[in-house]
Amino acid sequence: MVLMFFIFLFLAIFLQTNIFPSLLHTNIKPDIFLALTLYLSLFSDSSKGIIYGFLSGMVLDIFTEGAIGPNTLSLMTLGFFVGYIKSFVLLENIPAQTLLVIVSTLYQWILLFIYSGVFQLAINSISEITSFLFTQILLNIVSTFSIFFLFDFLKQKQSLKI
Amino acid sequence: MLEFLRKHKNKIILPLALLIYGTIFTLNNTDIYFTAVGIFSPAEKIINGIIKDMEEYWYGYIFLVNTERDNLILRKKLRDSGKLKYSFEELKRENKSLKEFLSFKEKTGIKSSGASVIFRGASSESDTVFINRGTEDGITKNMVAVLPEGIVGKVVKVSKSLSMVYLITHPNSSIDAIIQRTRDRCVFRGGKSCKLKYLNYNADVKKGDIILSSGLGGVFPGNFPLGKIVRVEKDPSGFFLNADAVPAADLSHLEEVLILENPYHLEIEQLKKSSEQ
Repeated sequence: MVLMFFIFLFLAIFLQTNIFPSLLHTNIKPDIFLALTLYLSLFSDSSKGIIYGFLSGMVLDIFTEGAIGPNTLSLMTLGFFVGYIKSFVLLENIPAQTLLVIVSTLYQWILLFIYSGVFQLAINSISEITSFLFTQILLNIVSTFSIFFLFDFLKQKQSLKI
Repeated sequence: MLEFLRKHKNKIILPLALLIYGTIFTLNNTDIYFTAVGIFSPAEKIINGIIKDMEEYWYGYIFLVNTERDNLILRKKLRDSGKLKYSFEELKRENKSLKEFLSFKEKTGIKSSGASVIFRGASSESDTVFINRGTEDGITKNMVAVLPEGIVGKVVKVSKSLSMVYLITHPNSSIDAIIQRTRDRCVFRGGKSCKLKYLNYNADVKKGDIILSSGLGGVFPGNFPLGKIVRVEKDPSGFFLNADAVPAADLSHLEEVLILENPYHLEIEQLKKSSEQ
């Protein structure tokens, strides 16, 4: 699992910095780092989610602004909370997972907007944020389920080998 | 001790992680994280090259297969010359942009060098790009990135062979500006939609007016296009006008930029040298 995480983390860097911007021709892109954090928080040891979230967020921040920022904090805490609530939700339930992606994306961006406000940055109008978040949520749902499917597939292959 | 930690790990892991976050946050003042990005830049350059080649192939050949008219022209040209490359359209575009850069360089008279954008910030809506020039090529902080259409941003972090550019749409970006037609002063501020701040309430500005950099602030050279006004509204407080703007340069499809030497920086250096003497 750890090796798979680092391979996907490595791939996520190239996907988000180079491949998605070229393919999508827009600044909004699916958040592979969020998908990785959610998967590993849901399907691994509960205390490990925070570590995976921390590492994913740190890489995302460094490759965004060259410094540690709000994504480390949001993904780290998300990893912790998802690891904490996973005993209360049905893990294989698709609607529950979709809801989790929506809530996580909103949480991540709310934290980012608070962070921006704290540091005297411009906060944009509600309509602009809403349309942006809507697209972001849709892309995140697609990318998260793709990552879930890939991880499950690789895990199955691995267990078959064993 | 270890037994205690193991027993209470779920309770202490979050405060511990927050403490680590706080500690590593203090290292933001150093270049340690940016140096880490620099390690990846060779791989990013290769991937960027592959993507460009694929795009070149796509737009130069496959895309044209679906366009009957263009396809016929291409076929004819292929028959005629037999030497038409897949990259013809790309080369033409590159040639055009280089010509524009050259005439722009001559026009401005400021020393400049070209750079390629090798990747963009990883987060959605990030307003940063990373270019393939660093201290080795004479790039320093606060140099300005431009296109013939207008200002792109400024260099904020530099490593040996990589630099990070904050685009003018970055929420942290504020540039002193003037409206070309009315000469009214304002501040061009970044964000998802760029805003003009502190624009005189009685200013006669309207949609479509061009915004230029004023040259004040000592970073951005004066009289370079920044953007144009897309919406003007009177502030209910009665102090300033609220205006939205869009950047003059297309910042979502950046491939090559010109990096201008900061003329003010040179002057400061010269003044420092002369005062030392």
